[in-house]
Amino acid sequence: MTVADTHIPDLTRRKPRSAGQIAGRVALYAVLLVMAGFVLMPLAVIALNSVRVNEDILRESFIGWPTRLTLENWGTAWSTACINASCTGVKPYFWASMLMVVPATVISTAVGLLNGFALTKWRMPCADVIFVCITIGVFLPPQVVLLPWAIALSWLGLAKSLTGLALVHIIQGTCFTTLFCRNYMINLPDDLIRAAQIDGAGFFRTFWRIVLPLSPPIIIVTVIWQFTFIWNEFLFAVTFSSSDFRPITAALMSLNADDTGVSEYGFGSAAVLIAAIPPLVIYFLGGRYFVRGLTQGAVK
Amino acid sequence: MPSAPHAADFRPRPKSRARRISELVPLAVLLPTLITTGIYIFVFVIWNIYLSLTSSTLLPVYDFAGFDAYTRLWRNPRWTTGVWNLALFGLLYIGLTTLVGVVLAILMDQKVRGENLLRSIFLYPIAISFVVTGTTWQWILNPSTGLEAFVKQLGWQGFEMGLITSRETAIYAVVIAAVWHAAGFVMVMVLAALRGVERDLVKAGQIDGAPMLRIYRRIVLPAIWPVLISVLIILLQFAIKTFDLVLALTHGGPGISTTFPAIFVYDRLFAAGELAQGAAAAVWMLIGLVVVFLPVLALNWALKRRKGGAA
Amino acid sequence: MASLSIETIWKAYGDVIALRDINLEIADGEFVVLVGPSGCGKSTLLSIIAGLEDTSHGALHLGARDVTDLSPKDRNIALVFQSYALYPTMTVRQNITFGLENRRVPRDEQARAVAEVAKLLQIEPLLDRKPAQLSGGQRQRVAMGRALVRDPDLFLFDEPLSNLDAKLRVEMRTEMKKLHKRLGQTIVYVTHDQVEAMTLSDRIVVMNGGEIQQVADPDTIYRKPANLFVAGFIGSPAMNFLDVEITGRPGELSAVLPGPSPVTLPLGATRDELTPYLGRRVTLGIRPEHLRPGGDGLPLDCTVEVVEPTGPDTMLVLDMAGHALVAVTPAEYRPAEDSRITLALQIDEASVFDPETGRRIARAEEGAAVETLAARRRA
Repeated sequence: MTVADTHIPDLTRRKPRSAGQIAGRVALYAVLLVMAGFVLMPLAVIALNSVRVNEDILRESFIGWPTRLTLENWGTAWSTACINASCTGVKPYFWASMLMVVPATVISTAVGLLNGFALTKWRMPCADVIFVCITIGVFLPPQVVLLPWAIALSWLGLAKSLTGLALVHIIQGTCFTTLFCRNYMINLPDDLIRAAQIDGAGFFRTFWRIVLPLSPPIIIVTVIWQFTFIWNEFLFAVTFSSSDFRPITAALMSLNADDTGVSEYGFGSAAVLIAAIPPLVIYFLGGRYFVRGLTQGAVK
Repeated sequence: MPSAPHAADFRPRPKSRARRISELVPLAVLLPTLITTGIYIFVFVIWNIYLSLTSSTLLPVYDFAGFDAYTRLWRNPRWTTGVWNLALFGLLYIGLTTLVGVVLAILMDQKVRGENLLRSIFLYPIAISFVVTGTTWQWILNPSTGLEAFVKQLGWQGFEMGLITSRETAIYAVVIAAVWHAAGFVMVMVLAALRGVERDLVKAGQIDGAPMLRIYRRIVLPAIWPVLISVLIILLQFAIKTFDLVLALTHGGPGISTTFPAIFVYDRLFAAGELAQGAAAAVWMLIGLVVVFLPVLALNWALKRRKGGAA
Repeated sequence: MASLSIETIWKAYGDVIALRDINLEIADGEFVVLVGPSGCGKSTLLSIIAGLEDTSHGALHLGARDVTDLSPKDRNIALVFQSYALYPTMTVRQNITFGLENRRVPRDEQARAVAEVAKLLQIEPLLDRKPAQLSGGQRQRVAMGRALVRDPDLFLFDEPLSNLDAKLRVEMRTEMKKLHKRLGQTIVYVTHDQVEAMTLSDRIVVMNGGEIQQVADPDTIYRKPANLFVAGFIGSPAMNFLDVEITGRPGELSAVLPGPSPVTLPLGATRDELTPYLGRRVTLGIRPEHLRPGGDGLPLDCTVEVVEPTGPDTMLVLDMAGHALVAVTPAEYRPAEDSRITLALQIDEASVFDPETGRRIARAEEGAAVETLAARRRA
């Protein structure tokens, strides 16, 4: 029998669903939508408050629709709001965080990539012992090294400075990035590295031409992880900050702590959003790859 | 049959100079990390342990005061309350987050429309800092301005919640905010793992006539235990370090009712001028982490072994 | 191109000895196949030749150069991997030139070399594609191109055809043979596929348990296996082994197959080399095709258990006085199952082994050849 003879049935027709199945689907979507509403609620409330006028917030409550839209809160929060008795808005803290987070992320990722390669694809004595040590570094609670860090940084003349905090994050972050990269690279085929060796490529050339072009998935994971982690980190940020240098999480906490009344909810919401935007942007750009990379082997 | 060569023949051959140098390259690459991590892990931890055994108060003093700081620590209600809070919070937080995350993942696994959008919505809280999370939830749960005021506004004048203003319930406010923060992350991890489970396993279950719920409980969840253990480890990490979330949400209050070990350490070191006691508290946090982690690692190892034995 | 000499190579991983006293001389332009079951050490030996593994003992010479301690890049060898190991992020062209780039070959010369190799392997239309866009056979060609372009002293192949489907494998096999004939490279080729070994090689090296079992041309390996391992490993269906007792007197020896109804095989005057074994047991090795349905030979009465037509042949599983035998007979021969038949054993073609040492008991005329081989291995 040839294809032309065959009667082709309607392939687009769907099986009709039973009443029970339909009820099940309705319940499923109801639960998911309620949960999604709950998860979205805080962000929505804050976003609405950032464009409400203060009188509305005071008259109604923290939760409500704006009667009149205003962008004033954003301007105040960015450049004139008073935090810790200095009325500069969150602008200097935002940039301080940015200046600290970007280099720390880039450097720790770069070092992690090289370390991961050295640990997995090059004959390396006691690679396993080194790997275990680095894993311990990942799990160590920061409180247990907080005091030594504080003393060591003041010895180095880096106490309460951008460089000092960046250094702390680079050193601690390297443990994370090395762990991620090692777990990713251990799955790259060994034959590729051998082929490159036979083709006459040394350590760095193999890394640059063969391994790095294969690493975007793990680079995305480590960059997102490092950026959001360092940007959001508070303990070291508050410990190693001063009036000259204060990351945005520490500044926000001050804003939160000098709670003098309801009057600041409008610009407070804007300030909170400003602090949340960079990691959110990073997540929405790369979240899909992040999850894929994370489950593919970063956490194992 | 050739005779075995003398043992001396198996000594590594002398290598050419170029080859020796090329073998040193990876070590040289790792060296900075080895040094910094070595200092960070070993020197700093030992240094901290040493400081906990001194009589340091405002400034570090390098004498030896025995376990004085440790005994004073356990007589301090701020510390004992913190430890108790951490235990309660840790159990509720890890239990609820995992439960919500797994249930959401199973729901999302039912060929849901708009899956990508829903996943983004559930995932975004993990990108937000604890400071922002705590501040936001503080505003929402504040009785005079937040949810309570909103409900009263709607006309239900008698509505009372007082979650964060009561000593007994403030800790549950922390739990709610923390579960909100991490549940979506757990969902995404578990969902990815569910997708990795061999479809044939599920089909075999269906052919055997098992209902969907039992297929998940008996076939799918046991197949994704490595991810569940990763989730457990990550949540344990978050729990033991709980600090900024509580500070932003309740400032450890009312009173000291929501204080945590991490808050205690920070307070002793940088506010109360009790360096030795703060260091001792940090050592206990490390011990606590190890004590909690060992069973998890043992479980992981046992499961791996069982799987290996079955294969 | 160059010759390769492998001198008393040992390789140990901790207490486990992976290679034991490997000695091998490979002539310039020779195609040598290393064959053996998995874990026999053939791939380890290849890695050592490539420089990807160190030796524990012994030396390697490539032409006149001692390459024992050189790193892979300084040996001037090329290796085609089982997985092809094409760099996934590079185009075919970049894959082929990567080795030249690393050796700082001028660009115009690189371009010329790529063009030449691409033409030779007929991969010109593929040069700007990525490996993921290629079929298995095309990847295989690119992997060969990457090896050929550098004009190395020695080619190594690590089971290069095992990832291809059966039809393509046969095609590529023929093509490789043609290519070797045309270019005359020195090749060491690892495989577990004995058909590849038989068809491609000038000489086969059979390995087992980290030791060389036999080195010889394919015909000798097949017809005069040096020991029981080689006899059993090479050939499909495998050689039949029968433990027999040598009786009679010099010049009129017989082999007696013990059992409830002993079968006596008169050997006549042709197997004088067995005289020292009078009254002792030996193992008789019979290839399935040397049991023929008719013609000259020692008659053997058998019961047919299974008849398996394979297309070109008919394979018979037989029972002869309680001993299992396999015979390969012409396709048109189809006895009924459970019937009694008489087959003619070509006793002259049979190999005989000493069951204690497992070694072949050489016939008078081949003694000299085996002696030289043994002498070479001792040297």
